[in-house]
Amino acid sequence: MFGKRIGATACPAREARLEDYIERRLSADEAAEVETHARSCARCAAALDAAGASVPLLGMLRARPQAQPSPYFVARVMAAVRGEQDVWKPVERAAWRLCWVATAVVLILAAFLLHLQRLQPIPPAPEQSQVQALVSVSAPQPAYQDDSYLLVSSGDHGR
Amino acid sequence: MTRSAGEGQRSEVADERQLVRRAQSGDEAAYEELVRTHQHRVVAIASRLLRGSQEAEDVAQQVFVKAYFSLRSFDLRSKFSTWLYKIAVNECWNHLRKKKARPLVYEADLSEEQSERYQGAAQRSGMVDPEEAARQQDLVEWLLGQLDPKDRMMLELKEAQGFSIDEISEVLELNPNTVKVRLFRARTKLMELYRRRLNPSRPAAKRG
Repeated sequence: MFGKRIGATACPAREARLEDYIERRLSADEAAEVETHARSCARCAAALDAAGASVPLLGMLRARPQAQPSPYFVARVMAAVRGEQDVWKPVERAAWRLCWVATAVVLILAAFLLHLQRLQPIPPAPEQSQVQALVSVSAPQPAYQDDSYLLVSSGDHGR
Repeated sequence: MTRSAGEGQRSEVADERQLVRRAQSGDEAAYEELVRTHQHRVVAIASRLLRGSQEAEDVAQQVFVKAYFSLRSFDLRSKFSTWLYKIAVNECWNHLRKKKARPLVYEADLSEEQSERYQGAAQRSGMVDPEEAARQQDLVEWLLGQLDPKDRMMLELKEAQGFSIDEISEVLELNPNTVKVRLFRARTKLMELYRRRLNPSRPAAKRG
C-alpha cells in the first residue's frame, strides 16, 4: 500500500496514531492526515504496511475455538475456596486469640505499674539550706588562687 | 415494553455489583454465581496466555480462589470482570515466569517444507479450505510464540480475546497511549518474523 520495506520503525511520535489508523478508530480527516504523512515518510509507510497486514493474520485467532471450562469447573473452584477457608480459618482464629491475650496482658501490666507508682510515698521537697549544702559538698573550691593553677599545670611536671 | 440494550447492560452491571457486595459479605452462593458467569472468559484467557497448556484450567481455578480471598479489597470502582481479568493475566504471567521456559504447544521450529506450505497458503486469498485455515492459524500461533512474552500477551488480549485498548490498559496498568504504541510495535515485529520465516534468505543476504 505505502511501501515495501518491512521491519522499519515508524516515527515514535506517530505510533499510537498509526495503531488507531489500522484499527479504524480515526475520523476521515484524521485518517487522511495519517495517509498524507505516510506518503512523505518511508519509515511510517513501511511500518504501516507491516502492521496493517497483521490485522487479518491475527484475526484468525478469533476463528479458533476458545477453550471451554470442564463441566465441574465451578464445583472445583468452590471446593478449593472452602478448602482454603478450612486451612486459614483456624489460623486466623488463633491469631485473633493471640492478639486479644497480648492486649489483655499489656493492659494488666500497665494497670499494675500505675498502681505500684501510686503506692510509693512522694519524698518531701528539700529545704533551700539543704540544697545549698549539697551544692557546696559536691563542688569543692580550691583554698587559694595558686592551688587552682597548680592543679591545672601539675600534669606537666613529669616531663 | 422492551428495554434498550443500554438499559439491559446497566441492569446487568447493577446485578453484578449486588452479587459482588453479597460475596464480599461472605455469601458463597453469590460468589458461585460470579464464577459461573466469568468461568468461560477466564479459562479462555488462561488457555490462550498459557498457549493451550493442560494447566490452564488449574491456573483459572487459582484465579477464582485468589479473587475470592481478595474480594474485600475490591472497591467496586471498576468493573468486576476487569478486576478479575487483571488477576488472571497476573496469575498467567507468574505461572509463565515460574516455568521459565515458554510452554509452547507449537514449539517445534518450522521446516523448509512447512514454510513453503505456509507461503503457499498465505499467498492464496479466501481460505475456504479449513485445513489451510488451520495451518495458517498454527503459523500465527508459532509467530506469536517467537515474540517477547509481554508483546505476545498484549496481542493475544487484543486479537484473540477482543479486549479494547481501555480494557488492556486497565488490566496491564498501562497508559492507553503506551498500549497503542506497544501493540503497533508488536505487530511490526510479528510481521517481520513472518516475512523472515517465509523468505529465510532475505535477512541473511542483508547481514552478509
